[in-house]
Amino acid sequence: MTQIKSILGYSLAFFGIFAAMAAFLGMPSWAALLVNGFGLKVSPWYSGGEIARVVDHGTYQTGIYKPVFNALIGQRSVGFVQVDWSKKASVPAKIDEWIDLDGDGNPDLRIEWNTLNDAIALTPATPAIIGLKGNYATSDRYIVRVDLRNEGKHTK
Amino acid sequence: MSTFAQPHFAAPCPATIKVPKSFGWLASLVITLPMLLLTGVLLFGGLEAFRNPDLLRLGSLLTVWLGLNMVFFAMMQTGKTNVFRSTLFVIIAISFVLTFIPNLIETRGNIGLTQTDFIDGKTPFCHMVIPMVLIPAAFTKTIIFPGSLLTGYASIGSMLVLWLAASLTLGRGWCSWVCFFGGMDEGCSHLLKMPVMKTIDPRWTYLPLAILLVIVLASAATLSPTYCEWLCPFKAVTEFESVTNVRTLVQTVLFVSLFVGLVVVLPILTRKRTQCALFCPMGAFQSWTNKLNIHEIRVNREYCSDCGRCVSKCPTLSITKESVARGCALSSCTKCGLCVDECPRKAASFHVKWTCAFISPRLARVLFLYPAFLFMSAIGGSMMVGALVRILRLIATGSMF
Repeated sequence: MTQIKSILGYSLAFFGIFAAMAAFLGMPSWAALLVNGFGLKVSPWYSGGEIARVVDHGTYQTGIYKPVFNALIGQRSVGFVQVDWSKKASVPAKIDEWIDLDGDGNPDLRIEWNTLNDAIALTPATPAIIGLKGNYATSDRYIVRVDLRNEGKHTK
Repeated sequence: MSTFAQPHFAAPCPATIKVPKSFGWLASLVITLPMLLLTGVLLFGGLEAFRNPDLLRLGSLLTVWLGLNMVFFAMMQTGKTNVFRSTLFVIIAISFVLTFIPNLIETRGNIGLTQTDFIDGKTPFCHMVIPMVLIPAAFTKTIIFPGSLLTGYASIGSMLVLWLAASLTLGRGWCSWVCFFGGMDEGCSHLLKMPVMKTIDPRWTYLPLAILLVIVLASAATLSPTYCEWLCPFKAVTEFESVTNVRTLVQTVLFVSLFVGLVVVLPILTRKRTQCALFCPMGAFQSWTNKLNIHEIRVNREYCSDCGRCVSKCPTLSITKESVARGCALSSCTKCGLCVDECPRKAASFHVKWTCAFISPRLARVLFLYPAFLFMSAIGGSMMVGALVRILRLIATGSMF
């Protein structure tokens, strides 16, 4: 028994050399396997979450995201929703758009953003809208995040 | 109370005990040759480096590759581990700063993080975040870090793979062989010959566990990496959120204060790796991986004279008189090899669990050093190459970029 344990111990220790090499040589494959295998994603609190609808304006698009209320378990009472305008080069310098967040045909908020001087105004049309969380210009899109009350949670 | 007071030599240091720890020239060369090949494969990335021959980079690669293998050869030939590891470890930490900051400036324009960088997922994933992301990942299948999952520099997926492999292979050896931050406080701990503060209450060694518990729970509750946001000392020399309000100002003051206190001042005064031993939650987390790992440090009670030298020298307070009496190090042991090098009676040695103790300490040491050095060479080596390229470019052109 002692001999078997010894052989097993040394074998595992020797295997460590291969594990080290395999980790580096197969890094992209292992990483993809890990991420896809567990279905991991970057937290929507950072990424903005999943896109719900796209409004096509021809030369540019408005992306309306699903509201982010994610908590470790269940949902938070306050979150945010992201709206972005992509194909940045084609987006008008002055964005002025009514946004229908839930797709019910009624606008929920209006964004007026002069991207030249970064002046931005938010006009809420529903009580769920709390205020502007932030506006950001990345390399390829303009992004607005709006603080939002989780009405679903309050009504429960 | 006194965990590293001046050692008392209970018995004279005998010259009669002969436990071979080193190899002869030829044997050392034979053991080094596979390492030369493996590190070559890892550093050169096959023949990629030769296909697009940038002479500066190629020269730096060759220099680092040969230098690393000379160090490995010296480890084998002298039987000493820590003196070589420590030197490389400090060089890697400096190289990390010298490559990371210029890389950020090149790719992002500055080292200050903005909300736009968070949204774009442009933050390199750091291993310090790992304990904080596991619970949210298990519950929500999301990683609470504004990085990229699979693409770009230090993606989340690649760092998780690296950590998993290193933890299974080395356990908390990660902290002395892989972590590119550890060399900073280790370097500072070597600056004075004798410690000014000679005692540290051993109860402080529980602090990393407490911090780990708090940050894991806080991160799970807030779905944000709280340690990175508020406590990480290494933000001071890597990247942190641009100071735009009171919150970011307080965070920046905390980062700089913790860095100065834990990574510079206390290591100088105590000659210990205080940030690693008394603060780092990742280190505390890694201690558990020592339980899974096959390598450990053992103390041969037949040879040990209870001189206390290993207790006094251990940079992470991972050997106590009680643990020596049990013939082992604590689970916080980072396998740096200092106790093995310092033991005057050669009682301390690397050991492979489940095998007969002290039968073949040289084999156990080589079986640990091989993967440990591979990890160190692959991660640290690429940083050393990057730093050397930057330094040579600075000398040649007056600019690092």
